[in-house]
Amino acid sequence: MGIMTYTLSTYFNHGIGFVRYRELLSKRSFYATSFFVCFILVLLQIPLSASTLNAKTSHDAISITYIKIDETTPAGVPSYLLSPDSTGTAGAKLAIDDANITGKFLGHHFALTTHRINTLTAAETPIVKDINRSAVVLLDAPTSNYMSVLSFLIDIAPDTLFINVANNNANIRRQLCGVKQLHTTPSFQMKTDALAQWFRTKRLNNILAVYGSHENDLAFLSAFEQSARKFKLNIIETKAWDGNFDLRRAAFAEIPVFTRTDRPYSAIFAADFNNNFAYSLPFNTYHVVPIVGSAGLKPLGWHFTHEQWGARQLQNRFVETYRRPMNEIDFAAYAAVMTVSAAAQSHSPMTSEGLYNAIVNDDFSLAAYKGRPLSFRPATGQLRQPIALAHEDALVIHAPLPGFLHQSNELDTLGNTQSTGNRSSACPP
Amino acid sequence: MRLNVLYIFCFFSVFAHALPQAYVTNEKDNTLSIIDMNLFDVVDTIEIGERPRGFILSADHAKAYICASDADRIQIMDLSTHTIVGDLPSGADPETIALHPNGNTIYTANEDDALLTVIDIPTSSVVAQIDVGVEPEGLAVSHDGNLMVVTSETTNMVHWVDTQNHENIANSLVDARPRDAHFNHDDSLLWVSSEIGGTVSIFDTKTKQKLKTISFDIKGVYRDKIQPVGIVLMKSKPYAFVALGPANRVAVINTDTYEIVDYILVGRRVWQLAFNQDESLMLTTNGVSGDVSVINTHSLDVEHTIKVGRYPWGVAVKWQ
Repeated sequence: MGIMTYTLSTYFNHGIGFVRYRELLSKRSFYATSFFVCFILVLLQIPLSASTLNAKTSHDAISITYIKIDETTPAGVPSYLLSPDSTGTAGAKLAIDDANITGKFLGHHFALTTHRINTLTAAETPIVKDINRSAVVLLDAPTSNYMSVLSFLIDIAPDTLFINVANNNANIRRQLCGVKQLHTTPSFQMKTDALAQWFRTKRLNNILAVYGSHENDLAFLSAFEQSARKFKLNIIETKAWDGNFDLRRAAFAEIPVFTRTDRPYSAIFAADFNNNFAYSLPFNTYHVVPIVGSAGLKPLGWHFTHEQWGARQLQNRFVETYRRPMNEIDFAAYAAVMTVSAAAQSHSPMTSEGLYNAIVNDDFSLAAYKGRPLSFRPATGQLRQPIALAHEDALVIHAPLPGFLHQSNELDTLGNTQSTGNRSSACPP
Repeated sequence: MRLNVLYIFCFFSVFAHALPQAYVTNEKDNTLSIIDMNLFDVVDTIEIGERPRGFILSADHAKAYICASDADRIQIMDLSTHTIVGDLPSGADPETIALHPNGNTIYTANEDDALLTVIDIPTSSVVAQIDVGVEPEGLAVSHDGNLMVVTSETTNMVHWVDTQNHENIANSLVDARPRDAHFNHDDSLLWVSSEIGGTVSIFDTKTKQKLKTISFDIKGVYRDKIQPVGIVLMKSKPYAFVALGPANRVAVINTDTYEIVDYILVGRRVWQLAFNQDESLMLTTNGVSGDVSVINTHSLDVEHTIKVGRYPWGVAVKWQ
């Protein structure tokens, strides 16, 4: 009972905090603040640089290229559910600013080039040039062409450190012999394990799983099936959504039919990468139950309502700069650049090789507003991190949930710690 | 035992009016809780600026300086009337403050702008703004007043500043997310806590080099949950106390041997620490449980737990 009271009051506190936070965001004006600071500086004629004479003047430059490969959005996706244009690159840019403030005391300088294209071919000469001189490439590519883009990049610059900042699919998390690849965005398996821990905690054992036609939907579903086995959940039925009509005016009639089953269920897991139907599930289903996955309670690498552990400072900086909330791909890109920045602090050589070795070292840890040190799994190159379980208006909790323990690191209760990919493509033994 | 202590304090309270009193800022309530240190109970709660965090007293205990982070100002409170009598131009989002021994200069960390602001209190003006790392937080001024430091959470550094010319004279790397800093009594050493690194580092103030790193190990608590934040050093005994955040414990360290003497269980997410005048008692702010633990520094036991507001953050005890 004591624990219950504490938990409830914690949620309550978070609730209050969140309302204030939103009000404040609208109240605080970035321009007013900047003007105020500038005004004081001009008034007092204090040159900002005067105080940093001691900062190192010789710079080790680290060049980072962000490559974003666009994927066509299918018709019928509500416009308000589309991802903002600056998704990912905004997070990387903000991190470059932060990394350069640190860098100026250590003599490092980070530079970012971004490229947004539909396909990557040898004809893209400027991109090839940028990749050739970059120590690090941040890759934001859809599952359909991730591997082909990666192998194209490996051919041009085999020594580069590649960091996947947007793709959750297990198929692209293969070990490739001699390739330095990391993933700062969580895998689907980490996300579904987080959901499964919530299901266990809430004693919701019988789940209906529904999925769309995108290849990531099958990957998300298959990860959930593995989580269900791992955490002893019962998937009572699996249904594919093949509707090719706009749901927004038909959901009240169509969704109950789609979600009617022979056996009752206590929750629905939805895999809908493209936002084709999952948004219509809450409050429309045959049995009205919690929806998780692509709608309702979402497992995310980052949610804009998260404000603990200093996260609010990062959220504030992001909103002031980009005038929109920070999403999980922004955060993964932010974390990727901050990983490189943290590695640069370890006195290792500022090359792809030197940075990579510092990052996969056992002593490496990244502070990234998630309340515990983050590190990379050696077998998969995956960033271990808590998963935010959040709905539209609030963070529910970060997984791992209390009580899910692990012999070496609680974060390893989420996702696969061993490589699940095709081992034959890694270096032969 | 507890009743006896209470009776003794009640007896004294007849003569000692309401002092000593402890002040606690409640970050999510925008209030200040006032605790009567004889009754060990909250006797008043005062509305102050938005998101109050850092809280310090003037040398004569007549005034308090409060960081109202979201109001972008440092408020000055007259402690005889408990009213806000003015504010200082702090720059945006002041989180913590430190007072120079001269009593006229106050330092504040502007978390959102990566700046350290130096303010002259009598003229209420900004004397200097110094570029530091991302999210500056922990501040400390040496007892001789010649040196001050600021830690930056995301840059993982201690920035050393000459208080005469406001120049950043050196920068030392420290473990992840440094939160709090304290000089020892002869200013020969600087103690710095690293929240995510899970360590306390001790620097030689002459060479600015790290001498010692202290790690913590608590049976039954996973090491990721051990997150050092507030540090206080005792004058009368070779003890340092370090708040360990979500480990819900305060570590007691012998400052001669650097050995950990004890871990004291307190409320949830313990944050900042403060002594009373003779250092017989220490107060802790426990953010998540919303209370203050009062620790007897002789027996190292928690003697009182006092419910305050939402997310108590800063704490100080007024005895004069």
